[in-house]
Amino acid sequence: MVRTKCDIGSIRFILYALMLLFSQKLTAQTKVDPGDISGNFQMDAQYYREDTLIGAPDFPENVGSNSFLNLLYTRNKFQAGIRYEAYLPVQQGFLRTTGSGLPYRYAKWTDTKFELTAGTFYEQFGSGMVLRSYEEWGLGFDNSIDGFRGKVRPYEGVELTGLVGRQRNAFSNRVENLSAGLIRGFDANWNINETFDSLNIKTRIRIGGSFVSRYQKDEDPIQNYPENVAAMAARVNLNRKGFNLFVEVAKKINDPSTVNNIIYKDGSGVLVQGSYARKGLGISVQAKRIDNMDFRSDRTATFNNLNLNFLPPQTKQHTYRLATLFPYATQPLGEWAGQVEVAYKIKKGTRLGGKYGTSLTFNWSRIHGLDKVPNLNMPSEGYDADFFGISEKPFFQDINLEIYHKFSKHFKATLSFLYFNYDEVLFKQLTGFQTTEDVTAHVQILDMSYKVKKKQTLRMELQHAYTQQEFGSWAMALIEYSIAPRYFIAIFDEYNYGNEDEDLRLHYFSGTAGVNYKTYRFQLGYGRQRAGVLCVGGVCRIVPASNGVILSVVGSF
Amino acid sequence: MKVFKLGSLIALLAFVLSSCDIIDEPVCLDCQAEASEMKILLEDFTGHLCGNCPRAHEQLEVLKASYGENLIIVGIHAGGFAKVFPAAGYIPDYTTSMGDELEEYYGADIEGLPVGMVNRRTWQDGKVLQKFAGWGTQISTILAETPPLSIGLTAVITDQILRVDAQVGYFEAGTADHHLVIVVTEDSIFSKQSDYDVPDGYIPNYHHQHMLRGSITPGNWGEQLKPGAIQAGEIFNKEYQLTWNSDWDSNNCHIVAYVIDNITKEVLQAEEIIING
Amino acid sequence: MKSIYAFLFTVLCLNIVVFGQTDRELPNVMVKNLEGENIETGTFDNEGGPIIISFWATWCKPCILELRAIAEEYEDWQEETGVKLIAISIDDTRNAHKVAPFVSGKDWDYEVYIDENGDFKRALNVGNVPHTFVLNADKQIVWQHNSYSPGDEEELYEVVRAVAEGVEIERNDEQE
Repeated sequence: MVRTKCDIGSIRFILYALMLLFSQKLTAQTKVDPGDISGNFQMDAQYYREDTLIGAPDFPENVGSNSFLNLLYTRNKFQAGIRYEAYLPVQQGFLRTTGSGLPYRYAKWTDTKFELTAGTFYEQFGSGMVLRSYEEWGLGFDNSIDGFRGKVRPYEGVELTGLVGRQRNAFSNRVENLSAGLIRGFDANWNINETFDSLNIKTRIRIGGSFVSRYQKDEDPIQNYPENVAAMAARVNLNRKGFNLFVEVAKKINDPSTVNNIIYKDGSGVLVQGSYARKGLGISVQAKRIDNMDFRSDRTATFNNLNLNFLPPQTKQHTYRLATLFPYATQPLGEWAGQVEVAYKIKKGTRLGGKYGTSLTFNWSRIHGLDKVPNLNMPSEGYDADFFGISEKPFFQDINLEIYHKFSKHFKATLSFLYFNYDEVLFKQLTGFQTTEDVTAHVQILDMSYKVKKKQTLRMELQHAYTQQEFGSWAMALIEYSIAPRYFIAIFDEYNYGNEDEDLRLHYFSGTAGVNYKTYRFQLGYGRQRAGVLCVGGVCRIVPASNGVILSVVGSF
Repeated sequence: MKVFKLGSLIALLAFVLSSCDIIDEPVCLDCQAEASEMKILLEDFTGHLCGNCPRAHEQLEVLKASYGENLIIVGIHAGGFAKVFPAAGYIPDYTTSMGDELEEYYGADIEGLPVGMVNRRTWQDGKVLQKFAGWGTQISTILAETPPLSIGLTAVITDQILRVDAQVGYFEAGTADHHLVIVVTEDSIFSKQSDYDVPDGYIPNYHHQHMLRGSITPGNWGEQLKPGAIQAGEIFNKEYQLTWNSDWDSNNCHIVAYVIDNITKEVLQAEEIIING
Repeated sequence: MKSIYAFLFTVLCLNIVVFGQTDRELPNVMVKNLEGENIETGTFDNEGGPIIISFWATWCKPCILELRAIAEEYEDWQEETGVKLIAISIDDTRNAHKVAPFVSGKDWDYEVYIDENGDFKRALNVGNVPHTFVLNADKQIVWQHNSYSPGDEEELYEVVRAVAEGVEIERNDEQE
């Protein structure tokens, strides 16, 4: 059931807009500022081949492509932008449905004390616990708000924001295609030092508060759904010398929804972030408690659809391939998380530091579920959870150490050790894999870079993941050769040597080559890609196994 | 100008802060579903490996208690979450060829379980598959409509042969695309069910209800009622026979019949009956 | 088929739009410094010297490789050309609080800001990171580059040196 919006209309619109702007260019010689146009675009296309061995399904259209074109027009205080997106059809594993259109268009007026946006916009209140709308192209994620937003700076150091609108749901901006819920939000930020500048307070203090409300009609005759659901947050940030402390508390008033199984319990969130930074040393400590804080613009939405807030996992974001075999996603219905990270540079000239110094980074994150007790007096409340109560076993734990050393002008290397462990039930919930015991894994990674001659570098990665659960152990090797600034070529292989099923001990071999020309980049890849999780910026999407050609073209102007 | 700016901000703040509802009575205990002749088919895609599905089943119990006979439930075990996993104790295979075809046709696995269909209609978001928080509203929307037809059923088992008689009476005109579908569902099946909300992650002897067992009419999309346009007032009598599968306990089974428009696949009316004899 | 139209469109847009444009000024957007204060990007200044603006993120390996490679030469670069590197982190709440300790732990001397809501990134049409810009004495964008391969910092330095000497840079996003 695929509905592609007829985009002849949108194409015509863009053509007219361009002709208008083009004609402005011809008058660029006059004194009147004609404004400035810029933009960027990207096109990712994938050709799929059926591969039953790795479970790559047949893709009837053969080619999936995701592309967008962004245009931005600026003239003094006025700014307007438009984006055309086309998923024809959408690549596998993406959160969007097939279609095309102009889902993003806006006009903005900015002044020193006042700013007004009409159309589509992105916004974040505080840490995002009650509101964050953003986009992540790599995942096909975009929960922008379509409506009005105003920002006012009435006094030095005070900023107030008000917004009203609906969330994006598909490709068109017609009211029936936006979210069913109407969002109203208000945010205030006060930088006390800026306002009381003359007092010269040594500690920098900032406080803020937000209030967000969703209105959605209740047409259910039996269940009384609240039509106005509100969430609010208060925060304070203290900063002095190298120390920084940020605390935010949030509360959500009865929000029965599909995700929380229609309970009327209030939601709460507490976030504490502390850090210390001085030359050569950085420490950050974080604790977070989330209880029933899933908040969407439609009470029936699930997965990555129509999220209003942002609850990122309190874990280190890994980029090395085998480390991403073990991801974590926040459990919005309840979790207690802690994370510590220490980054230290051993000075150059010392024994361990060598000629250039050695960088160490240690990270430890541990997440527990809440201690939930069913509420038998009021079943509609669902459960009770003591503030400091935690589950016996941790949901997830990630302990890792990274060591970087530059040996000479030509050779540098990074060595990492990682340890992961999951609770059995949580792992099933996260990945759908029916494991029969807790999952643990040890990963070792060696990343080396050798400068062959000026502007030519050879890079090699060796990775190993040892685990006795899920699909067993993996080994991976990658070689990349780059000729700066233009060309690069890489080949890599992932081998599932530890799989219990001998027939599934497969090699996932692929190669990529690319060219960078000025601000354009052209990349072509071929081979087998394993099924797995692709996590970008805290949102993960499951990428199915695939076999075929991948093409990517990116540029900006 | 300053006063105006501040004034409008305060007004906006007041307006925004007043938008917060606190509910004291979550379920309307005195609200009776309006008496109606419409009977609604709710098909719930589920599976014993699906740890979130018991939540949908709990909601189905609330709905059944409110809507009674007007709600007919069929649980379809299909897709990845209905696979057997003997190593972990999920042994029985509850899949059916009809369930498999429906799962593939609607894409339930891709949408994610639990998910269901209310009379297989397409709703405001353009989808047929709906999450359980919306089912109540959708059922009440259809209840308010007048039924275009009614179905009468009898089902008897004699000597291991099940005989079903269906009488379909039309109040409004119909088309050649109207198909009659009759299926068997079974209750009181007990086996292991995954449940993420309990400490061990599963319930050993979970009560599986309204489980789709098979279809009595040929194929998965039923049988055409008439090879031509149907007049208002026409009555059809259909008779089906099936050798009863001894694995199914006839005391716990229901016969569910419904008429669909084979082009849109939407359900026009449904009926449910227990087996006598 | 339709995606090919979209792509042809893009090429059409580029050709129309790119020629005849004068060097663009840096857009004026609010970002936060590491102490949490709001700073307007219009106030970025290097007293007439060249400025490098580099968009990065703590999870972006090539970005870290680039900033590290430049850090190793930064003192020399500053001595020779007076250049200032402003690193804009696009990290969101998951990692934003780690940016200050991260930068200190690596012992980098750059001016670092956080663009949490992505306004600055969108105003400059930055899609993927790393994305690096060079500004001349008048704070106009004269050069930009996306992605990083080891050795790219040498080309970057050639541009910076030319800007410091007042040599007119050929805009590298024009068609030759």
